[in-house]
Amino acid sequence: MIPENDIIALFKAPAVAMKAERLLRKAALDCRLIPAPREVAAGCSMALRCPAAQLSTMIRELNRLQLTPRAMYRKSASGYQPVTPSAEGEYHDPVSG
Amino acid sequence: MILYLDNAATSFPKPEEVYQAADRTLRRYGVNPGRGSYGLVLEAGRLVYRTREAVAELFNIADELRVVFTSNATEAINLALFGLLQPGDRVVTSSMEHNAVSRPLHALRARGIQVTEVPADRFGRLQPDDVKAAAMAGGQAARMVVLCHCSNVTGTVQPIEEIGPWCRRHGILFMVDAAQSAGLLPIDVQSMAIDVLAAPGHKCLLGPPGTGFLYLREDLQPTPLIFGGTGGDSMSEEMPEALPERLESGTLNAPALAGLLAGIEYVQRIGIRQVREHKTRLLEALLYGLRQLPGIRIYGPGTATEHGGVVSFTMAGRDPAETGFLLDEQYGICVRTGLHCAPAAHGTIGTLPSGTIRVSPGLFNTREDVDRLLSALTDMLGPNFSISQQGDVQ
Repeated sequence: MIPENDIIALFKAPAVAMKAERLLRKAALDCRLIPAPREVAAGCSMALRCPAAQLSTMIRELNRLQLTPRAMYRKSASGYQPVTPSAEGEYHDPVSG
Repeated sequence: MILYLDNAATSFPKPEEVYQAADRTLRRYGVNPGRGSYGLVLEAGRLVYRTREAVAELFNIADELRVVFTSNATEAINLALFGLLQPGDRVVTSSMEHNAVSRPLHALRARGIQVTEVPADRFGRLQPDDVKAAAMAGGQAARMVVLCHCSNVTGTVQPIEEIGPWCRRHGILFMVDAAQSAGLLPIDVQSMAIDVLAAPGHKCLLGPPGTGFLYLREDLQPTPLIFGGTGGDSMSEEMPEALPERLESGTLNAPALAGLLAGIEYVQRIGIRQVREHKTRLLEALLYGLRQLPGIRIYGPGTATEHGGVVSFTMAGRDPAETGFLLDEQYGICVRTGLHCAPAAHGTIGTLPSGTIRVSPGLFNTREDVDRLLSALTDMLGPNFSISQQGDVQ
């Protein structure tokens, strides 16, 4: 379902995920809402998926919009690897810094 | 042909776009927004979200996630009052409130909340200094001031732009019941320092019945009135902390909210100022015509520009209920009679227990509609009185 290297972001509530999708799409990001994979979220959560190539832009926009995800993951061959926030709570692209 | 002049109860008819939006949504996206993640659900969810954005934009709300959808203004008011007030709190309100405010406050008295009612004058006007004095009575600031922006009985508009910033400076929550003003009068929650705003979607915002909303300032976190599913974090036994989900358990009425979005867009296209000017012109004609008739007493400020969207009057020696019945039965004219769910307001203006005849034209009413009502009233008064198009007694 989720291509390798794609990023998924989880938010504190479905409406926040909806807001994030709307605003990121306005910023021309190719993101979309999906059911959150059970490996990273219990129950019926929604997740926002974004291609790996847009990770930096996604993080920059989310920080600018103050829509900090409660968790972010990168899909890898072995599962979902956490993208960890800084001490200030902001996410940084682990590749580009 | 029926003439509807009861738009203060709910606006009717709606713009064609409202019917179409509700119908289209029910047919194409008639699913449960926020429940699941498949395409149709997401489309319905996006539509609900756009409605939230439209509400936020109209009232200058910085974060649309602080807009909670309800089924009407009454539900929104109950959510706020029961959710925010604690035993020992003191609330200041007015003698012009609708039962949507006064009944919850009455119930809250039994839970240890102290309620102070500030009397308005006989025109329904509140003096800001009276509100301020009541809010600081005993040297301690009240927890909340809650006021209707515009009376549903007299149309009197209260000076919320003065009271709100004063409340903010004194650390008092300011809550506004905008049942009669949302979509008719400019409301800016930031410049007016409104912490809590409750409004219906189905009156001046032209949405379908079953729509309303509550705005809550950023740091306000009411206890929910209704507990249940919210579409996320399902393993938790607790309600989510985040708005709007915290206060939106159960299935949202997406078709009606789509209609509300269309209604708001319609109002924005025309412009609130133009809506107000249209209604003011109709009320001017109505007030002028009523003053030419014998035995008519008009309540409220008496100047159309101060009347919001309604005019209340009585006819000497006649029961308002009978007048309303005759207008409906013999002339096909729908007006509201009685107490309008606001007995304290009628106590204030001296119209208990019979109440008044209330006329509230809508966006689609015309001067001809007002003339038709005036002709019917003239006819009811007897053969010796008639009224011309110009309102001259002949």
